[in-house]
Amino acid sequence: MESHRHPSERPLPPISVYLYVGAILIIVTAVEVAAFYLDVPSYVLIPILIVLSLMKFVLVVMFFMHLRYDHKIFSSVFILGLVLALGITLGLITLFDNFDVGNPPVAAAPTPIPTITLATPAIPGGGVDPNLPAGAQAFLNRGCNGCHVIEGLPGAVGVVGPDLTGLAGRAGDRVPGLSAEEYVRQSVEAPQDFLVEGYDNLMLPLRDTIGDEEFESLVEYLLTLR
Amino acid sequence: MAAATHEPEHHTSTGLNHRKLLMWTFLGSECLFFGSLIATHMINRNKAELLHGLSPACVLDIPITSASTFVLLMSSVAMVLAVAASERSDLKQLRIWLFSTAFLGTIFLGFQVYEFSAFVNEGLTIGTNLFGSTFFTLTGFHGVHVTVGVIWILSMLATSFFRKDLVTGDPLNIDITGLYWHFVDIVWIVIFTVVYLVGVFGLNCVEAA
Ligand code: HEC
Repeated sequence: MESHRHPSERPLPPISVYLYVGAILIIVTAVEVAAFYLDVPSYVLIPILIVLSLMKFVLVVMFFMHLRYDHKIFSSVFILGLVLALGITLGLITLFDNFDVGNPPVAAAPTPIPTITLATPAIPGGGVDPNLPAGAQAFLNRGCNGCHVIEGLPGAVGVVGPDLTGLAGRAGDRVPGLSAEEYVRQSVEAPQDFLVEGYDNLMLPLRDTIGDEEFESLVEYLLTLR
Repeated sequence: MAAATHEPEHHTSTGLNHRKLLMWTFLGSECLFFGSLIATHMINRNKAELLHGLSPACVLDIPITSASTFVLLMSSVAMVLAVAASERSDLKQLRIWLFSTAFLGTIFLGFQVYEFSAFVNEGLTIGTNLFGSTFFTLTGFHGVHVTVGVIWILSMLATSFFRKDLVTGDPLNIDITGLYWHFVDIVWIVIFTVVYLVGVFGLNCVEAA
């Protein structure tokens, strides 16, 4: 039988080998999923997951696809493609510097955002109530309300970011060494520098879209939120 | 015995079957194809400004996908048993395992249809954000590969009724079908780990405003 096998090729394994490999594949997958639900830091978990998945990959290629038994040329053409693919993948990922799993990367220089797409008109069909404090108007005009709630400020309804009601009371305790005012400034100037617990780095770098005077009034207003 | 009765392959300079070599070369190039799609996904999946609550952590369903991964792994086991049956010229076993492979492959596709429609219901389409675009492109192309594989395997099953000589003993037809199917499986092994497990781990779902 097996007359298509080259004389230099090894005979194929018995069925039991396939069944063993199949069992290992299932067990390893179960371990991966279980590990996913464990509370381990990502720098421990991710390498483990990658190694386990690589192991499954190699098992299938060697036993199910018979590369372990077949002529070397088959392995060579496949490995050539595989190595090139790995190179491209790693190259792209390092180029764009985003293998960081926890939070999205921080751009070296904040990119100015010309139009604020998130801004919702505070008052449907109209501008912002001119009787509000200047800082509150800035808050609404600059789209902060799309992500933050402030009790008593109509239109401030977003829930992507933390509720800012009472911010002034806790701002001074957020980062050791930063006063309430410094912290509020940093929150807008460099939102990625400190992340409120339970939130991802989703706050837009909006500082460049806000005029200096307007920014001062905004900070002043946020510090009145008790 | 088979070698004397039928000699279907041409003699080649390597002494190896060129169709099989072609398949391996194709699979090598497929690595590049899927590697690029995976890399593109990894780079773009968390582009902050564009998520609006539809991020990997919000929509990807690990338990369901673990189940579909299990199904696809099982289909690979069935496929390797089909290849072994073909080598032994065991027509009955061959048909059983080919059918099982196609059946499990179809279940996997059913999971994918369910997953895609669930995502669309939650508001994530291929045009919503970079996560959606790269996710659907990657897993969609994988799904197309599975579909092609299922059709291929079913046609081999049909062939086993009309031209037994093409699927048993010497010819490499089932062997090559198997290579393709296993490849689709290993691509999923990578996607499951990288896109689902690593992709979601440690991220919180931030709901849209
Ligand atoms: C795209 C949504 C989004 C927009 C728009 C946005 N923020 Fe935020 N903001 C967040 C998120 C998410 C956090 C929590 C993560 C962090 O600390 O960076 C946050 C955190 C903050 C904090 C710190 C809160 C605390 O309790 O420590 C302040 C202050 C703040 N934002 C002010 C603003 C101001 C002012 C604007 C308008 C210029 C604004 N944000 C616009 C999403 C947003």
